[in-house]
Amino acid sequence: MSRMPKSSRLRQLRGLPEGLGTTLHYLWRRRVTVDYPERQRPVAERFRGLHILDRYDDGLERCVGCELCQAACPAHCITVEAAENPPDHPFSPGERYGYRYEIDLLRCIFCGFCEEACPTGAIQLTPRHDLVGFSRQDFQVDREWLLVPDPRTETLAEEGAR
Amino acid sequence: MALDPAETRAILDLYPSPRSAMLPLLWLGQNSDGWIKPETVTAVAQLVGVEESEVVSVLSFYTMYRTQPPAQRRLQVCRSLACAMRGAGEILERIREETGVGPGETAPDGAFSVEVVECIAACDHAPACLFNERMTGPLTPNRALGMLRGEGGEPE
Amino acid sequence: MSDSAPAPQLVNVTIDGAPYAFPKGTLLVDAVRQVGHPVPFYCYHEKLKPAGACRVCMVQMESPRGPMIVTSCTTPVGEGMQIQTMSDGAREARRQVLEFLLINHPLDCPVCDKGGECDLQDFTLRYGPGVSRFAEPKIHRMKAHELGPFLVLDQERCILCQRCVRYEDEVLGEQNLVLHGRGDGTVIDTTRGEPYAGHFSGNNTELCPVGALTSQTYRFKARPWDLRPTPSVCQGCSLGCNITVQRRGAEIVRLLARENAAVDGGWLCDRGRYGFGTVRADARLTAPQVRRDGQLVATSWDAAIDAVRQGLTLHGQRGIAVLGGARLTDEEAYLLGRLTRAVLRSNDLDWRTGAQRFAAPEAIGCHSAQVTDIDAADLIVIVDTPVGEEVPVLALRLRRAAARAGIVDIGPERNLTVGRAERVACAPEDLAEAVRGLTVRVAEAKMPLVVWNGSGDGELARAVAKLGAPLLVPGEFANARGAEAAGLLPDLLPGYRSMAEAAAVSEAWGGGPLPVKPGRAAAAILEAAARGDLGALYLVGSNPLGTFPDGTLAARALDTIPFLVVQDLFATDAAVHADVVLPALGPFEKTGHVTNLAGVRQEVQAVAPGPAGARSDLDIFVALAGALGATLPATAAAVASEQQALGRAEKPAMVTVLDRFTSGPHEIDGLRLLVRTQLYAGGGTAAFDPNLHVVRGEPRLRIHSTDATALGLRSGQFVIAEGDGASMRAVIELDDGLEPGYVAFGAHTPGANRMGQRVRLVLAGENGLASTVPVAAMGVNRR
Repeated sequence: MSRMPKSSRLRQLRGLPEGLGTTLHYLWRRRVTVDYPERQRPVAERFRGLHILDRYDDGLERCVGCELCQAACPAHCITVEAAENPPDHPFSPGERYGYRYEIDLLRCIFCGFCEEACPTGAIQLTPRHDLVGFSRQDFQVDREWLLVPDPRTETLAEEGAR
Repeated sequence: MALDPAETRAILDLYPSPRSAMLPLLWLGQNSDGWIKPETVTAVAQLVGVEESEVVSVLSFYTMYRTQPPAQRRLQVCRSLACAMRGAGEILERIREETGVGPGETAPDGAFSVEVVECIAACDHAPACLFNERMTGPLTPNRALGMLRGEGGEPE
Repeated sequence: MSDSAPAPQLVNVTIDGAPYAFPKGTLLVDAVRQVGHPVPFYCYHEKLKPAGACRVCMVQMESPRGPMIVTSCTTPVGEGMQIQTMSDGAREARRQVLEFLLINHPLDCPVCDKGGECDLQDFTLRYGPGVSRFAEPKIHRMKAHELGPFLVLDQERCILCQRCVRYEDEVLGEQNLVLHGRGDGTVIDTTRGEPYAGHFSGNNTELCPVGALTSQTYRFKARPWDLRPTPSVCQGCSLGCNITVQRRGAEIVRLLARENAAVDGGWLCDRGRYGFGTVRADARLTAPQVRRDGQLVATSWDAAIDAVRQGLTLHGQRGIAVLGGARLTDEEAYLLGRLTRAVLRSNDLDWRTGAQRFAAPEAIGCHSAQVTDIDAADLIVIVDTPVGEEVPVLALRLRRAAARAGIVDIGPERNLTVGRAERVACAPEDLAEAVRGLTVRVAEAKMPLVVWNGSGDGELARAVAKLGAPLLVPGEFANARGAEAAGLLPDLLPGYRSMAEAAAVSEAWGGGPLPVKPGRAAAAILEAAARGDLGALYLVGSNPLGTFPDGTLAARALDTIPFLVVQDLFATDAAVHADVVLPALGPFEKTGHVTNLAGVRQEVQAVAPGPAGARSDLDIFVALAGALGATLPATAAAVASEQQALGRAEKPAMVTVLDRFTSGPHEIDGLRLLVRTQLYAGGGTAAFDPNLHVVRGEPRLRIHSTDATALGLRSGQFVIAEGDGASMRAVIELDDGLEPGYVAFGAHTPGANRMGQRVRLVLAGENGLASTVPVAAMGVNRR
């Protein structure tokens, strides 16, 4: 390093109290970071995060396997196949249910078109955004992963616990 | 054989095209058997030269043809405007409440049946009905129930 | 249309201000659409008579009394008509009709198979109201009502356009579907709620403008925007109806008719429409098998081809014969001929493993007819051919012709599908006599046409040829005509060349010497095999045990033959005898051409990969030739160009029709057994197609109702039929199309060809096992 003029060396020293001053200034301010993941920052009301497949209150799945989400998806990340409901224990109201429902979350652009296309409000984007996994396979999610818990079995389980 | 040969001939001779005789021939069969048996349908189809399925289709269009053996007591309640306004609906509702037999149904033991029909041209007697094909009115819920249970009130 | 026809009278019409002229009688709906104005309609269909049922095709017409709203499907064009298609009045009328149609229509679109290709959706979007004002609850009716084995009806979705009802009545004449009830209670159903029983139910799913009639096999399989279409040709029978194969991903989900007026007229039979289950059938052969220590074991292709080479080398001295090829493509059939003659050096080659004796009318000295000739003919002679079972869609065309032309139906069974026809009932051995009896009538007819499936003896063939009328041969194998033209016959080379032209063919095939002595026909081959005079037999897509008229002979032949190679899609009962089994690809899995019964060459497309271990017949022939030290062209295109270059003989040689199979004793007591083609009875692909299992059922024995009454038999009862050679269990089906005195099994029903001519019926016991009670009075002495 070449020698510097004396004046500029003094100017450099001036930076130290300035920096400490900034530290002191923020020491008494409110913190902006949170202890993620123990605590999470609220997201905007219309934030579009990870998907769920919703159920009705009686536990039946909302998805009827109409594939409109698949058709609407600009990233082609949804695959739906439908099947006939077994008459004795149907998965959804009516004749038809989505027996295969897969989303490739790595391709998904979280545009929410699927949610808009859905005639029954089955596919919904939640505020959850913790999209993590150890392999690409982890991001290929299926119907079981997407479905919200069945309120019927949940209630039963809670009652059993009591 | 439900269709009397002489009457059948007479009916067929009435019309230039045999198809036209379909309804009168079915009526003939119903009058002699009380209802239209499957054999009658087959016979009529052959007589007028159409497929059996066409006769079945025509039969289902007209409510006054019976394709089941009739009940012992048949009540046909008119539900057209005048009768509806004078309480035909309430009478039918009352019958259902008391006996469990709704319009278009027959009592489990086959004793009586209740049907709804369109205007029977007896608006002056509204709410009017046909009981075993005979017109009577004005009908009240109690009178209707009495007739159905065979406790009197039938038209003379 | 010929040039001599008088020019049709033209009528001047103004449509939306522009002047047009149309032939007299044109319906307004056609006129308006022809000039490019869209008009919605549901009940109207080009192939059906106008009904005016849906009321949605309204247009506005100027009249002396002011503008009128008329249904364009029931109004023919008139001189000076002024039509407005998009006037406020017409638009309002359509909007109101659509609002009414939607009153009770369920909002099922997301779960409806028609959603996405539904006329109700499309027209409502274009012409209908945006919202419904109907606040009351909708009427509920039967949903997912199974009408028959293939058809599902949703009565709620039905808009009562009656296309299906009219199709049943006008096109089929069967009236399987009718209207019931009236007003808002009107529904479509079968006459008495019985299952739909017909061969053409699937066409209803294409006719239905909404999602009311849908296919069982397509139910919830895909939505229209998932589907990728491939044009192809059905290989179910020798007519070759044009189809569109629709796939979702790699899976074939449905077939649609692709109208070719010269072939199918836009219809498909259920066998063709739903018979694509072989592609994914579990029973498909997936690996070559070689017999080791008496057991067939799976092996690699190299090992299997080598086993064939060894077997042919070892047993070839005593002769090699090849049977089959009528279910291959033209290219494959040609290559099989070249393999047999040039590489295996044998002329013992025959595609005729069934009752059919020839495929091209020219082969017996007749003129070839086109399918469309039926529409113009004034006299049609049907010679002992169950057209409705053999080539169903052709029967619809014959039925249409029956309204205009005279139809003479000769034989022991009536063609019910054809409808109105003059019957000449006669026994199989009297057919030739009956045909000769028609000589004068045929000669007097302006445009006569003969329909004969080619199953009969030389005498009948000569009698038919002598009629001098154009002939259609609706045979039992899909590509018999292609196989015949490819020279899969003991005495004919490709292109109907006689053996004298062997040198020319040899030159095209690379110059090796060809055997010049005519080979043996199928019957002689099987007899030689049964005697022990044959070393090796190669069955290519054929199963003589099921199809050959003398099944006993076929069984003895397969038992005795030292070396048997079977190349097929499934483990047929012939494959059980095989020393090597080669799994082949089938329909929908190969690209090439097929030739239909009228000689129309059409392209088939590969749309599915087929089982991983199976190979196309063409690849197998090439590999086999390679193992034997010969090189064959390896692609379908190369084969086709070689075949085209070879062309046809200048003077086509004739096929020898000598074998006598159908003639039997003239004096018979008891019931006489016929083996007749039945659409789903076959032991080939139909037996293994999971889509068709539901209609296939038990082997059926058809009998005339008077015989059944005399014997005390009911429909649906199980009997054991005991013939001279064998016995089999079957369910009784009453069929008054059959003449009294006969009973009939479906052709290719396993075992039916081993029964002989006379049968005795024995009642089957409770489990169908005990067979102790003979049916009384078997001596129905009728002849």
